[in-house]
Amino acid sequence: MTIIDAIKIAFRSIYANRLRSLLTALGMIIGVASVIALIAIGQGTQQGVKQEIMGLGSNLIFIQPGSSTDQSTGSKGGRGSSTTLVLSDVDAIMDAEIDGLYGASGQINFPAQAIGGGNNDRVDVVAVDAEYAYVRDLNMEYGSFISDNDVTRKAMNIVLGHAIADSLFPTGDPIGENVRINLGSRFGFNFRVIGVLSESGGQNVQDASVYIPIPSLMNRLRFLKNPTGGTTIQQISIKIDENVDEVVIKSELEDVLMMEHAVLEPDFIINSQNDLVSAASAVSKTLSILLGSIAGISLIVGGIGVMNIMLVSVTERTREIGIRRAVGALSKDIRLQFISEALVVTIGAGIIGVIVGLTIAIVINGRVIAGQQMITVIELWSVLVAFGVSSIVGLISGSYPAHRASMLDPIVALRSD
Amino acid sequence: MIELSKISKDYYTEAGTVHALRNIDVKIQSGEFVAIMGQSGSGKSTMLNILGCLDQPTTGQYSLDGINVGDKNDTYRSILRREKFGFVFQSYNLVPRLTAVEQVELPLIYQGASNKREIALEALARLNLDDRAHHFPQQLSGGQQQRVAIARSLVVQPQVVFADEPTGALDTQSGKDIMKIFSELSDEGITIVLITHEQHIADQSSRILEMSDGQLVFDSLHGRNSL
Ligand SMILES: Nc1ncnc2c1ncn2[C@@H]1O[C@H](COP(=O)(O)OP(=O)(O)OP(=O)(O)O)[C@@H](O)[C@H]1O
Ligand SMILES: [Mg+2]
Repeated sequence: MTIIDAIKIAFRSIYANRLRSLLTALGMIIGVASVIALIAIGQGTQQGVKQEIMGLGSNLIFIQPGSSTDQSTGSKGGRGSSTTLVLSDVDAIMDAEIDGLYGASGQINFPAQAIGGGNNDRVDVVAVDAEYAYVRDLNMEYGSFISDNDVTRKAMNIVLGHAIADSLFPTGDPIGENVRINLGSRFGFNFRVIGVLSESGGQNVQDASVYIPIPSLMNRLRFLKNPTGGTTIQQISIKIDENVDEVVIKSELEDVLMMEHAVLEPDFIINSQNDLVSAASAVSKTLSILLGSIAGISLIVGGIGVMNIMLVSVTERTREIGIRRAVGALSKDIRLQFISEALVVTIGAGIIGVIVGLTIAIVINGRVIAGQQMITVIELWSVLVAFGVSSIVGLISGSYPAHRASMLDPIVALRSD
Repeated sequence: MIELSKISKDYYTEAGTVHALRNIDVKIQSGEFVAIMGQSGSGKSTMLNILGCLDQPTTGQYSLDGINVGDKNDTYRSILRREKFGFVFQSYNLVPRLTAVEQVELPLIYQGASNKREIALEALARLNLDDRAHHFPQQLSGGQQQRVAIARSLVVQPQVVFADEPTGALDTQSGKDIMKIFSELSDEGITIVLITHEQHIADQSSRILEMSDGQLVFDSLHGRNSL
């Protein structure tokens, strides 16, 4: 018997039991579709996070305050909760003249409401020094970025991210316009627009941020004051030469800041962009594996369903097997027939599952679901794995029933009813 | 040529051992038309199934054209059935959900023949079933179903056709038609071994064997009780 004959027979009997075959295949279809869709979501998340981090600029190192320790309770706060990083640390880093270090810039972030051009929007206010644009590779669409002069004069100047400029001043160039920054209902400050950033594209937060000189609000907002008299900052960004070993720079930075802070253990955290990418990748990889395994389990459950139905089918068709043996079918012909049947069901389910899974991944891509923007990245390997696993499941779950069918004694099979 | 010597078949059941066949010795030459008779339970079907390599004896030797089939494995016996034997059963044994022509194609599929449809239609035509080729078993009368089964047994041009009460489930006229076909096949030189309960059917054969309690008690070739 040829494989083609076996497949023809398989299609005949699947068609004869179409509802049952469909229900059996459904388990596999759901399994395969979810493997592909969930891996696409996992990969999309991973890529989104990676792009976001890489989009911050190239070859960056970030320094943040270490977790603070409450002296009375000894309980540790979260990362960045202490006030150990001050604006003068930036000068200390620049003064150290570390090899391969191009620039350093301190920043403070806080959310606010921006009102301008008769519109308002929620923004992320980033209070920065003049180095920021250089360190973070920001490009201007209109005007200029905050200058050293603005910082010295504590000027009430503001630079708008591209999306904010669009939403406040949809009609065009907002240079010279007034923007009011409201912090809660009690504080409000007027700024003059001196620049607009070009669009960063992608998922970047910089489009939804506005930038002001770091000292402008220092005296006006108490939370920016450090007990030591310096200006507390939340992060220092450092731009480095991509050809220099970041590990060396990180250790030099650590030495400089420990000396500056007069501490023996770092009270700050240094991360390179690569550290952040790999931390984020590790999280989303775990997520992918988790999602993949859940889907994989449903494939196995589907496979058990296929095996169950194949066993029923063999029992139901014992007499048919006897007839086929009587007219000369070899034991291996019978085995081939039933394996083909299991494979046609599972591979058919695999193909439908791949189509359904890909459709789901494509349809949800870019949509906001439960407040989260879904990004899906379809990986060829996930399609191959889902397909391969379903074929293997078919082979395994078809093997035992097919073996039972092939081992039936012709005369016993013929006499059964 | 078929030769059974000292063939026995025992069934072991909870109720005890059943000796379905006891020391059967028989030779069947090619071209013979043999009718097997005997009471119910005398072992006729058991012997036919062993002759057709569907079943195996407990002890004894079976040789076909000088080859000891008892030594051969399942695949060898399957190929014998596929290439040399045809079977016709009292209950037709057609596969449900296959059309008449597909039933007849079955042995050809396992042979790996290429122009299956053509050969199968020819075999059906020979049994005057051209107009029923695409009917399913449940759409055919008993006589027609049995003719499909005969067409299926003939399609591989067998040396021997084994028939277990082929007319048992048919009315007199259909039975006569079927017997006419067997006579024709016999005339063409095909060996036929056929079980029947009816004397007038057995009379159309060239040789009658009679069984009783697992033993061969009469062979018309040798005369009564000559065994
Ligand atoms: N699978 C089996 N297990 C146990 N005993 C069996 C089995 N098959 C047949 N027998 C016994 O073997 C004996 C011969 O059976 P067989 O079917 O050959 O009889 P038969 O001559 O064909 O009868 P009938 O004319 O009723 O078809 C019977 O006594 C039967 O009960
Ligand atoms: Mg019988």
